[in-house]
Amino acid sequence: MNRPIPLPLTVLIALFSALVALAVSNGHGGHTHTHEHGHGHAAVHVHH
Amino acid sequence: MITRAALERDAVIVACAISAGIHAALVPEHLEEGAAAAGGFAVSAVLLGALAVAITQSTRPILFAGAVVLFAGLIVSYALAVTTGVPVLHPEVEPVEGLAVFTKLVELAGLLAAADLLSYRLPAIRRVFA
Repeated sequence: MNRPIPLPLTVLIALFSALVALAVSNGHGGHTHTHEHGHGHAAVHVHH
Repeated sequence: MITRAALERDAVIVACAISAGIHAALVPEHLEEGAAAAGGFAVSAVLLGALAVAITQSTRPILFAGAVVLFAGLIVSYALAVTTGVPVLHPEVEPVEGLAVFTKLVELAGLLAAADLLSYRLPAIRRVFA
């Protein structure tokens, strides 16, 4: 078998995957937050 | 020239690395669901990382067999998580998400590559022990 993919490149791939996973999962959380913010604005308008 | 075996070995290593990174990143998120779920993700990440390093340094068939078993276990666990829930580790049914489906496709590719490597290395192994 030929020489495998270098270990530092494997580590980079793992780190990049982790960063993408964090960005995607935080993106879901951020979306929920925006929704809550929107509801807050609606409540303020009702009070006026 | 790059051989089929070398490509498949790289595919297994990359699949282990991608899956390890994603599982490690999702540990904190799963802590909210309980220590068992987060622990499952952490153990998976460590095993996948260890396999990626080991397969980079050695081509012992036991390592590819380990990759087949681990990938199959992760895919079956996810199938249970989105249908019936996983007893003890993840009792609630999880909604299907893009990131998880992507991870399972990567693991499936790794599983197929490792299984193929094992299938055509087995005759050579049998010759050694005959």
